[in-house]
Amino acid sequence: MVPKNKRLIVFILCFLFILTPAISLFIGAYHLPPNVVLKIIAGKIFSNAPASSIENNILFDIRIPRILLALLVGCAISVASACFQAAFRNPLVSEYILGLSSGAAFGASLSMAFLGERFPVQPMAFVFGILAVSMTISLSRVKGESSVLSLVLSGLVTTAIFTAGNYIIRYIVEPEKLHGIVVWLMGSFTAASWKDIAWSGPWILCGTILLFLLRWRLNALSMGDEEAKALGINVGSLKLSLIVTATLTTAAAVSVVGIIGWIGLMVPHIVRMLIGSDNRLVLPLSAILGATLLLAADNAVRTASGFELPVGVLTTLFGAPFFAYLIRKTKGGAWE
Amino acid sequence: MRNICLIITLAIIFLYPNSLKASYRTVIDTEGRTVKIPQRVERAVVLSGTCIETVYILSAIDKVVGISQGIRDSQLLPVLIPQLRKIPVVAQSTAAVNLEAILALKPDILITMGPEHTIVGMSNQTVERIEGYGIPVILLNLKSLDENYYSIELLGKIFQNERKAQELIQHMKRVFNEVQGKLKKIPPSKRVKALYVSGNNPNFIAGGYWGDQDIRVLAGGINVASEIPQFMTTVSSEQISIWNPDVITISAAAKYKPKDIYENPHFKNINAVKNKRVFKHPYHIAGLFTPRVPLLMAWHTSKFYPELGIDWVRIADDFFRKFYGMPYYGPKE
Repeated sequence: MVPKNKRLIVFILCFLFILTPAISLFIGAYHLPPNVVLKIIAGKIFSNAPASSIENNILFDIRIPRILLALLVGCAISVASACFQAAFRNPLVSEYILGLSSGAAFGASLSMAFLGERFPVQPMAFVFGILAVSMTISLSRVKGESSVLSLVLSGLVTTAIFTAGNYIIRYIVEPEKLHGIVVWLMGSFTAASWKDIAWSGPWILCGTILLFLLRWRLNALSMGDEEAKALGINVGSLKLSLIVTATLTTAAAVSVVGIIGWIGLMVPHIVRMLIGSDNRLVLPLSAILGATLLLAADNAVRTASGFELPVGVLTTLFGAPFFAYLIRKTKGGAWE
Repeated sequence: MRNICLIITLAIIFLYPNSLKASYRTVIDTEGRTVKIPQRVERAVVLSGTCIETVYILSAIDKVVGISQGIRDSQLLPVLIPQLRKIPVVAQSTAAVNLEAILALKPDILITMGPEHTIVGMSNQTVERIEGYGIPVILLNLKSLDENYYSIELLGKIFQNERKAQELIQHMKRVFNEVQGKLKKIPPSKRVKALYVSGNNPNFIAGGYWGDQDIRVLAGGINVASEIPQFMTTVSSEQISIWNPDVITISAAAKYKPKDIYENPHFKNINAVKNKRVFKHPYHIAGLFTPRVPLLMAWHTSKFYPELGIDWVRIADDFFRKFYGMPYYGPKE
């Protein structure tokens, strides 16, 4: 499946995917010497004695869940974005095109500003993210059918409505709560825990596997609706299942860490530039590269001494110029 | 008749400027601005919650004709000061104002926080615009206990109740001295390392912005985050583990309780968690640099050093009865 001249690229991407988490174990604000890290891991694997040292706590309760969550979220938003771009046959589409981020942001802000402890941020962000996408889909349906154009336009309408709602909340909320909302809107892994992984992991893994299984049909869809129909594919139901799966995957990721910008848009493009437009490769490699890049970005913010920047700021700050550079270098991107 | 007209004309010429001068006076706000205000302030717009309490204690709440939505939405202020429910809202916050609504009230003065304030504060542009309509603007940015006392004195002058202002200041100083006196028993080596947290998770912490005026420092603790320059910011859980605070105090506005920190695996090896010394303060005594700041300090000290036997509930109750005319009705833990 992998062309011979691209095998090296695939190997490098896979190598980085394994190397980055391994390196991540050894870096952080708390100094853990490599031999201590290895000793703690070996102790965990080979002996059942529960270790309660602070080093053990740093590694297993703070660092490892954070690494795993960054990998999961990077994978989720990149795969979902690659899927959206292929299904809509549009390189400008990101995982947030159908209003998911604005809906999730509204839900999270509502929870943080007014609803107190009874309505935690995660479920509220998840529910409102899904609600926003459902609204987009229902708005776009004309005579039972949704065209790509009407979906994108309805996404803009939904985004506008929820963004306005979010602005109102941010305008009237107390300053102390406002900071929490702003940080959430920029995405952060600071509070990552096993609980977050248990909440979002199953959605992300199931969604990614499902999208991965549909990669052949995505290729057919990329050729155009008529061609896909000629191949015997029910385009309407395929698109709907793709949208629903990609939305659930992204919503699960966004609800635990907030909105991470640019990774989703950028990663499938980089993969296409490296490997071509075959979705059988674009999807898995987007998952791998998205996970690696987001983890690397989070490593950068968590090793900084003192206070932490939200990781979404870093991905946007470096992602956008890097993306511009790639577009110039490839004369408009590798979209075929 | 001609002589009478002449006398009246001369009287107007000579006395009018004096009467004009006599109807105004100047005060200096905490930003060092000299502000010319009417001799008698009868109509005031107060946008800052920290000042409205002082205005109430100075028995001048009936002179307040406009407030901010922030004051109206406060959990505490409308309970302490029921009149607030009837005063028109003319601004969203200390910074975002409805200029037409303010002008319609024809106030003698407007009191708010200025652009120097860390979180919110009226911009210079808005201040100049309001002053352009002939409304003097007093900026009170309280960054220390001394500025807090100064602002109370100033409000006492503005609303011509300096006696009550002194009574309030003396009461605050008495509470402060009582706590500080007891704190002398704690040698520097026994001082607790304290962390103050807020927001959606305990990673949102207070840095060292307030320096020696930080509530934890005033209460006799060591601020573990003193190296971080910001007022509030986000830090990693690893950083909190490095600091390893002995006590964690949670803001009343935080979206979590001590139980959530005890159950959070990130913090299970921290002294404060291991020794069950995480506390959330009641919103009734919260408010940095309001007249209630000694209550917040006494609460902190009682949590830092229970051995000193500081009865913060009694201190809060005395204050509430004396200045708000009601007993302290918040949680007593």
